[in-house]
Amino acid sequence: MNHTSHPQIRGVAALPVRRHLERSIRDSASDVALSAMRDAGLGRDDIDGLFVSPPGLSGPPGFMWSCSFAHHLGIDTKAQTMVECGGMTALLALKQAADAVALGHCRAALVVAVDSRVRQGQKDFAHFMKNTVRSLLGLYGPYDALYGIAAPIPYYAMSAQRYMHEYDATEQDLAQVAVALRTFATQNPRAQHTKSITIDDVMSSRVVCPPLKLLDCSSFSSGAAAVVVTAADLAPNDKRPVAISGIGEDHEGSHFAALRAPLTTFGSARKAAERAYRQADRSPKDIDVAEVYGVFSATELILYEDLGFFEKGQSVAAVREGKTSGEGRTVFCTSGGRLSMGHPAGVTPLLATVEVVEQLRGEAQGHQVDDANVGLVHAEHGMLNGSMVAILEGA
Amino acid sequence: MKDVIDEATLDALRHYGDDTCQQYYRHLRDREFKSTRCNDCEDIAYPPRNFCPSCHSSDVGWTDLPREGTIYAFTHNDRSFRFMPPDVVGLVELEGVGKILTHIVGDHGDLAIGQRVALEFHEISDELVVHRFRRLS
Repeated sequence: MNHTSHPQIRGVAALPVRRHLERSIRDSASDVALSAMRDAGLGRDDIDGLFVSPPGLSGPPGFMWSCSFAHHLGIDTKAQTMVECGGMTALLALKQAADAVALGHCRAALVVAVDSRVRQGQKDFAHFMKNTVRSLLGLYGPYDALYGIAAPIPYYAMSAQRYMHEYDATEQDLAQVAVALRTFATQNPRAQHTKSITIDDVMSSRVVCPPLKLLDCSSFSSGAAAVVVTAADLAPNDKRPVAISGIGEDHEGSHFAALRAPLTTFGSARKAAERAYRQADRSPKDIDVAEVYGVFSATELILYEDLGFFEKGQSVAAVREGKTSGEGRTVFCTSGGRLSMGHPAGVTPLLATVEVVEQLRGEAQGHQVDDANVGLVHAEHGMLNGSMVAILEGA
Repeated sequence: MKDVIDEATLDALRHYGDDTCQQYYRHLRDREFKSTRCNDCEDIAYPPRNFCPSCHSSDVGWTDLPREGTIYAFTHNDRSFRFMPPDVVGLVELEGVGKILTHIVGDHGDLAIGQRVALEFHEISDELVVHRFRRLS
């Protein structure tokens, strides 16, 4: 494969995923930004593009954050913006950077995401409820929100129920996914949830929205990550460059539960993957490592199928036989996935990117996959109403 | 606290809801269950729009929605601040329309995919009425 023209990832950095950021949003963002630049071997004068996600995706809007953060870093750019598209945001920021580099608008772009998802204290509860009702109605819309939807969990729980109904999967099958992901997380110092768990632990955890229990769900987490994307002809450093060889994106024109589309297969994931594979001239059987945006155990199963790795309904058997965690062609979510690495939504796709880049470089200490050369990153928004897939290859 | 939530809901509906949305809730207050139907392509939209989202015709009008449907999926909403437990949120399939999100009356354990349900009007407050569904015996 010839990667002489694809934009390349030259530098990566990420903070460990934790419940709270240890430092302020600005300190966390500048920490990963400067670390990613050091990793790329690039200095202040080399960076000429800046692409950011909002500082705290579900928190304050961060009006003019790309501008104030560029000022904070002291960098002048030829291309700069803040992107927002739900959970897909950070991968879309990476795409904007890759596009800007490919079009020649800039040569070395910094992509930075930081998210702090833990809510502020509630001094005035009535005031807090008023704001909460308003923001939830804005997010879930003036129809669904009237039913007290306060998080996406009910939608995904219904998707899980339909998947079990249509493919004869059991709650133990879902629990097996959580256990497989946790096994990887125990080896990843960046993961938030690292204590080993059993199927019994998952089955006996609190029922959040049936059939989903607490350990079937990702956690609201905080984190920060940064990636440096450069033109392929930029002078190399001592790291293995990673080419962004294909990107596919698809949005279905629906928001959370679609009126007519099924909940057990997601067209956006299928189409985004097909487009990315086609652009990269790859197929699922070429992928060594994949990080998918499965924020619930059942969603993880559905995504393995929709991204082309297994036939519909076959993920359950694949997980049970270890085919998703090392015994099969592709190894999935070596980071621990959303369930165990933790899920700072605004950062999640960049954390997934950092994980895949480290795998392709052979730097994934303690959980390295042998001879990893081709990787896949998936992200989505809503309930898979939109998806994005990036193919990354060691150049 | 219910008063605060109800008032904030009406305020947010005015802010985020369009004119068609306001009309939809006026219909529910009058105990009518309606959405919009395209006079060109005949597609029924849900939620309602003042144009057709399927063909973008502006020739649309209100139509009655089916008052019975089938449970497509359901769960228990543990974070509810709108309904007292048991708060079963579900997707009910209405023939010729699609599956719509609603509240289903009853215990989670008594419900099953495929059960037939019928519409009820649920009065959140004097000013706000929503649809919900109950299992047909």
